[in-house]
Amino acid sequence: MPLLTYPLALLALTAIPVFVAIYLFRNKFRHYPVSSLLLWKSMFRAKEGGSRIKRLQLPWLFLLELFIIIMLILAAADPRMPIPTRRRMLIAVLDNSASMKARDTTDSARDRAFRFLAQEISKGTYYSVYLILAGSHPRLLEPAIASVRELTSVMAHWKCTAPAAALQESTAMALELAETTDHIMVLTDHAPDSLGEEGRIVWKAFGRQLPNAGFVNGARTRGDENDRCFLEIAGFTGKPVDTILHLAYGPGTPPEERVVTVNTGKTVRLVFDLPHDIPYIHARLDPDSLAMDNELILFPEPRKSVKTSLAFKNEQLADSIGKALEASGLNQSNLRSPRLLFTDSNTVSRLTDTTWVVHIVTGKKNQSYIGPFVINSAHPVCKGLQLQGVVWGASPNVTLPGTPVILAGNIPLVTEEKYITGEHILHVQYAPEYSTLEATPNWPVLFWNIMNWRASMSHGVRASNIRIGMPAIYSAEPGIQQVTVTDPTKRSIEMPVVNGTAVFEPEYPGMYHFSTDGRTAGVFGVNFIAPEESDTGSLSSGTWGDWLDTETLQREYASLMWLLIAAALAALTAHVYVSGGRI
Amino acid sequence: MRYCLEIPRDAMRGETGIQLGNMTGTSLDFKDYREYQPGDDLRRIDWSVYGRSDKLIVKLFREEVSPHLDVIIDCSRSMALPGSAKLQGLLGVSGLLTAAAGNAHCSHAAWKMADGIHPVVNGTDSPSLWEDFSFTTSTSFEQAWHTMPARWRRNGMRIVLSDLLWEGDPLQTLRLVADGAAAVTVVQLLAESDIHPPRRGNTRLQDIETDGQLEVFIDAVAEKRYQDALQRHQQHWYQACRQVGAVMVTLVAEELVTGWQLDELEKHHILGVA
Repeated sequence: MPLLTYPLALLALTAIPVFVAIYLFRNKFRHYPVSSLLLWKSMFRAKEGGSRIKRLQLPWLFLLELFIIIMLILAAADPRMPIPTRRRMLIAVLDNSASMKARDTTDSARDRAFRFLAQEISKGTYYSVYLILAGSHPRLLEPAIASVRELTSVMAHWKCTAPAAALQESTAMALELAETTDHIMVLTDHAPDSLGEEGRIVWKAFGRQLPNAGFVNGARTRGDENDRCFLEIAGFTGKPVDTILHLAYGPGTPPEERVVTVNTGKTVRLVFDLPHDIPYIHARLDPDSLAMDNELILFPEPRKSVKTSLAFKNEQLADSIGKALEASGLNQSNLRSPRLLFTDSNTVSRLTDTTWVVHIVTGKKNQSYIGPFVINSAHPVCKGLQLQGVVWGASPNVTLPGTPVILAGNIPLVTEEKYITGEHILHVQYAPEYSTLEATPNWPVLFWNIMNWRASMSHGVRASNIRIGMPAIYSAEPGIQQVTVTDPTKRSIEMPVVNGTAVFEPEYPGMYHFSTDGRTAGVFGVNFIAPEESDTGSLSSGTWGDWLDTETLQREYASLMWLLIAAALAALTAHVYVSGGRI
Repeated sequence: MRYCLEIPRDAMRGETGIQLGNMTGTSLDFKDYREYQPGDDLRRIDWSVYGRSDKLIVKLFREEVSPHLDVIIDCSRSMALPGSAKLQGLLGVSGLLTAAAGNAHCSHAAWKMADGIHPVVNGTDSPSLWEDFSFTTSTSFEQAWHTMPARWRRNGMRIVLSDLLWEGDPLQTLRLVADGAAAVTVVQLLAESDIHPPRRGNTRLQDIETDGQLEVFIDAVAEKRYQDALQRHQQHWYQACRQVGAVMVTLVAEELVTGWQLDELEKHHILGVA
C-alpha cells in the first residue's frame, strides 16, 4: 500500500475541475450560420491565430492533459512503496488501568485491544513482541512473545485493575527497549495528551463512552463515641440516574438499601456515624459498566497507642514534651517497657529491643538560628513542619551522630540513627532558652510525628483501609520471617518479612487478611478509589501517530515520483504528437 | 425618379439590334479592317482590297446589341441567409433592374441559377408575376451550367446577381456567361455578416448551403485573415471580369435595403436616370 509523503499536495487535485471547466468552456460554441465556409477554410492554411479547434482530437488531448496533471500532482505528493526489509520488534504498551475493563453488552476495551494485538502479531511482521503493562508503574512482561498462542498465555497478567495507567513512563521504557527500526504501540482506551517521539509511537485507543456510577471516596475515622463514615458516589452517566446503595454493617447482617440519584459530573456524599464495634461496613452499588468501583469496604482504623517514658534532668523541658505527647492522643506512659524513650541524658541506652529513643541534646555556647532550615521532607518526622520564622537554639559545637533530618545551615538539629534490628534513635539538638519552637505549632506537630511514626511501626497492619494501588504493610513481631495474605477469593499468598515488615500490593478490591502461624494477625480492606478511571464517559477510540518519520520514510520506502514524472513526460510526448506539434 | 438600364452603346442599328455594342459582331455597321486570320469568315473578306493589294483583309463590323436583358439570379441557400437582408436585396435589385430595362425599352428575362439554369416562370413579365422561386440549392454556377445550360439571347445584356461565394474559377464562369453576350454585369450582393466575421470567441460556423460545420476560435488575427480572404476572392472576380470585359459591382444587402441608394449601379453605368 503506497503512502504519500506530502499528502497536502493532493489539494492540487482541486485544479482538475477547473481544468475540466476550461475544456467545457472551450468546447462550448456559439452557433453562427454563414453563406459559405469557403473563406474560412482557406484561412486555416496559416498556423498562427484563429486556431481551428479540431474537435476529434479533443478527447485525446483532454485525456492526455488530465493524465499529465494527475501524474504531476501525484508526483508532488511523493508516493512511496514499502521496500521489503528485515522483520522488526514490536513493543506493546498495554493500559492496565481499570477503565480498560469497562464493558458494554458485548466486550471491553481490553477485549478489543487484545484482538487487535493478536491480529497484528498474526501478520508475522514482528519477530518478537515485548509487552509492557502500564499500571500504576510500568512492568515489563518477560519473556518476549512471538505468536498469538504465546500472547494468549501471558494475557492473564493483563488484569486491568490498576487505579491509573503510567503510560508516559511505560512509553519511555518502551523507547529505551526499542531500536529506531522497531515499532512501539500503545493500546489504551483514551486519546493521548501528546505523543512526542514523532514517527516512533502509534497510539491506539479502543474506549467507548459508557454510563457509570461508582465510589470515588470513602473513609472511616474514629471519634470519641462513634466512628464517622464518609462515602462519596460520582455519576458518569450522561444523564441523572437512580442507583441503589446496599449497606451491610458487618458479617451476617442484612444490607440496608438506599436509592441514590447521581448526576453527571456531580457527587453524592453520605456521612453517618457507626459504633466502634461494627467490624466493617460494606457498601455496594448496582452493577454497571465498571464493576470495580461499585464496592467499598471500610474497617475501623487501628487504635494504636505508644508506650512512652521521659527521663529528663531539665524538668521544664520534660514538662513541655509531656504536654506535647499527651496532646497527640497516642501516648501511654510506661516507665518499665516503653516503646519510645525521651531523654536528655548523654548516655543513651535502649531499655528493650523495641524501644526507640528520642535523645534531646542541649550543648554549650548555644546560639539562636532562624534558618535557613534544611528539612528532609520525606522523613515521617518532618511531615507538616513549617520552620519559617522559628528560632531554634543550638550549639555549633555539638556533633550529632546519624543521618541529618533537619539542619540549620550546616548545624544538624535532628539526626537519625537506625539499628539493624529496626530500632531508631532520634537525636534532637535543642536549647529551650534560645528557641521559640515550643511557642509555635511546630512543637506538637514534631512530637505527633514522632509518636505516629513509632505507632505505625507497631506490630500489625499499618492501615486498615487502603486504596488499590497502594501497598498494604504489615509490621511483624520479632522473629516472624513470613506472613500469609488471604485475598477476597480466599487465595493465600506467602509474603516474606523484610526488616520487620511485609509489603503486599493488592490487585483487587475487597477484604484481605494477614496471618502468621495460622492465626489472623490483621485484616484490611482494599477499595478502588480512582475517579479518573471511574469516568468512563471520557473514553474514546481512534488512532494517533504513525511509525513514519522522515528518516524511516527514506530508509524503508522507495519513492515513485520518478515513475510518475516519466509517465507525465511520455504523455506530454504523446500530446505533442496528437496535437501536431501544438502544445 | 425613374431609372433606366444603360445600354452599352447608345446607337441603335441593324435588323437584329436596336443598339450597337462595343464588340465586333455581325451588324452592317462597318467598324474596321484587319488582316485575315485562319478561322475568319470568308464572307467577310474584302475582295476589292485583295484585288488592289493582294492582301486578304477582312471587314470588321460593329456588333449588334439586342435590346434585351437576361437577369441571372443565384437561387442558392446562401442568398436567403437567415438574419440577413440578402433575399430582400436580391429580389429588390432584380426587380429594379428588370423595371429599369423596361424603362429603357428593353425586353427582359429572369433566370434562376439552381440545379441548372432555368427560366423563371413568368420571368419575362413584371417581377411581381415571377413564380417558383425557392432558395434551396447549393450548386455553383458551373455545376448548374453543366446540369442545364441556359439559352440566353445572343447579343443581349446579362446581369448576374449572386454573392459569388462558391469555389471555382471565376474566369470559367464568366466566359460561360459572356459567351454571345453584348455586355455582362456581375452584381455581388453580400450580407453584413459575409463582410464582417462574427464576434470573437468559440464559434461553430454552419454553412447554410451544405450544412457543413467548422468550429473556430475567432480572434483579431482570424478576423483579419477572413477579411483578407474575402478581399482576395473579390479580386479574383474583378480580374476575371476585366478579362471578359464585364463590370462587377459589390453591394451590401443591409445598406441597400435601408434606403435603396443605387449610387454604385449608377457609378458603374449600369443604371441611369431617365
